[in-house]
Amino acid sequence: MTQREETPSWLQEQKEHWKQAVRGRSRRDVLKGIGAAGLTGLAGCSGGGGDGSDATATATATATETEGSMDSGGEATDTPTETSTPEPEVSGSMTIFHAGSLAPPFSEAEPAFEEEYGVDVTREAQGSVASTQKITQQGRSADVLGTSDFRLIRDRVLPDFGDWYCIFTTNSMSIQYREDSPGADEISADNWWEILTRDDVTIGHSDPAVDPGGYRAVMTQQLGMMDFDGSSLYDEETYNQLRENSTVPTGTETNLEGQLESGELDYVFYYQSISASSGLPYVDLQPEVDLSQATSEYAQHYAQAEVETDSGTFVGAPIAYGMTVPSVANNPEAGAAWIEYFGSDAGRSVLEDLGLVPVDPIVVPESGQDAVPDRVMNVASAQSNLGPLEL
Amino acid sequence: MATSAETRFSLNGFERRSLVVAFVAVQALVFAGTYTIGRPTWYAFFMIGSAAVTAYALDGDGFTVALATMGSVLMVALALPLFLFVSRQVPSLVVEQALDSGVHRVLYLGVYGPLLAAVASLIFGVPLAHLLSKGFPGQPLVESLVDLPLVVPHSVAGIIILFGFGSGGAFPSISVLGSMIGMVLAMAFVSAPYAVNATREAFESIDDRLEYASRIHGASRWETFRRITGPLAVRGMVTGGVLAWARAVSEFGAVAVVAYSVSFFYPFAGEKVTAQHAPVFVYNTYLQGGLEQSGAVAFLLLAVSGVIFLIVRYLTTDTTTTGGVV
Repeated sequence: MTQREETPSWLQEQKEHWKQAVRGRSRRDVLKGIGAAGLTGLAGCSGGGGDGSDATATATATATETEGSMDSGGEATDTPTETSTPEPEVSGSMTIFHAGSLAPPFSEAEPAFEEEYGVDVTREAQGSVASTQKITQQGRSADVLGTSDFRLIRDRVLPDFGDWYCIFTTNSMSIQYREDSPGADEISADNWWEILTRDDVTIGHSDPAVDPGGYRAVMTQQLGMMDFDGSSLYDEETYNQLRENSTVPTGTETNLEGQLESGELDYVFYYQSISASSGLPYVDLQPEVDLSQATSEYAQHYAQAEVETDSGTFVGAPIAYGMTVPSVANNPEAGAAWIEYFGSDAGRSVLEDLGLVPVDPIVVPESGQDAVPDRVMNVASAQSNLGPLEL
Repeated sequence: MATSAETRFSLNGFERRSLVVAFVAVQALVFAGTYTIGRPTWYAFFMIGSAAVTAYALDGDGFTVALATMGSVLMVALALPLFLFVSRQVPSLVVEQALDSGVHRVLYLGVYGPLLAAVASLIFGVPLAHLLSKGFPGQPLVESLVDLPLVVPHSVAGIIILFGFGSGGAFPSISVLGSMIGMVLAMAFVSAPYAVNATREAFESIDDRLEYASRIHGASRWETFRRITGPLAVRGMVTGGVLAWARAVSEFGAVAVVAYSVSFFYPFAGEKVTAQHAPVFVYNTYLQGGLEQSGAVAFLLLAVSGVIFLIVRYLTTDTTTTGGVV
């Protein structure tokens, strides 16, 4: 429980960063795009539409959104106004394919969402890559696809299987361990690399070739030896020792916790959202290595990390989760409603409760914004990049 | 009727073989035809129909025709998806994968690891099967324990192995994570029940009086096992071993948790190499390269397994019941 109490501070910190990143962009971009976006906003506002039971809830969500926009100087593209076209009714059932690390917030949100929108939700949690491939390779259909790296959607789903996506939350890397891991009584954020490079220590992370969590773990280890603000955490020799102690015992991160608990691994690198919701202790890492900060200063630093795998080279970037409604969706309106929910206060608080850092408001790429469903556009801000990330 | 059946069954070996070849050729031709025009459904009906007609031609009895027709429905369910899978393969990709040295290692590990697991299951499973066929107090308990791994979900089986034999488990000195021992343990956990049960059936089908006769003639129990019961049960053992081996070849869940990548001695390179068990590798190929590429690797695994099955079946059916395999 002690770890949980720390949560608000880092959460707060990261939220600030993201807010700044979002604002920084919007000031410039929105003025340019305001004509088109404003129109979309007007045409598509879900606010007090004729869609019965969920009208109030949506209205509340958009109202809060306005407040949020005001806070940041009123530059968000979505200006909720009276509705002119009623939103299509949401009903029936829907399917969601998503990354394993999204399973906790999604399962938490599911009952409330089902209640609010009257939709029956079926979820399939798998690795981000596997979830994406189910649509692009297996010809399966889902109404929402959620991945731990939005670039998967940008690069593999667009343009054949979708026209847009949104970035709705971020995460950070952390190190989880057992109470009886060697060196567990000494480890802290200031000396983790010293403990982890000891001879008898086994570090685990998922496979960089098939899982974003895997290459991000390697990036975290690399970033520790890169200069940031004129100093690095450790030298190259320490990094090599870290790599030597590291094994890849699994494809996706879902098996790591079991392997850690069984005693076969002493320390594992994975997302803080997983660490924070597990009962085991964890180390909250420095922002210069945890890939959580979306400022350009940090992003330039992150970009120094490069992981080569059989499936290509991955360059470091802040962790940004993406969602989309694929073009093969059977119930696209319900899919859009799910994304709208995660752009609302209710959705954001679910994400926060489970250790993720919601992006507020959610961001959609400017280039594809015409394709964004109205109910998503209402809670989103269109941008050409998010801080340093090209959209 | 009886006489006509007699004559119809009196095909000599040569005729029998040419009949089989002709039947297979017709099936292949029709499948290729229907596949090319995009109507594999027609082939399904053809398969059932041709089985019924052939059964009628060989043995006009309604009973045999009924058996053949019913049986061919199952064959359609098993074979048609496999045939379609094989025809969907891109030959150039298959060749490319077949020449890849990484794929060779995977195939070697995918055959060799399960072989170790099957052999281990037999070495310790045959004595257990013998005991079970004779019965002993508390037998139902042991039987349930043997069958239990069959109902354990496979990723859970992997976790069970890690907790049982890992650093925090019963043999902390053995390293199971990512090791050959771990892989074999995980495979044996899910496949040993097949070895034990098949062997046990074989022991149970042996007439007890044969054993008595052997003992009366002065053979010791060891000798009786070596010369009477063992050879009589050898087909059961082989079947059990093949089943266990096949089950281990296809195991994904438990192996992915315990031994995602395995370092082992690879004789063709003369050194230790690291590779993944074939199903894990196929899945990762799918994640990295897509369906076609992983399909090509899966096809190679299927081909290798098919050849091994044929060899084992050939060795065991070509001999009399007492074997010749051992």
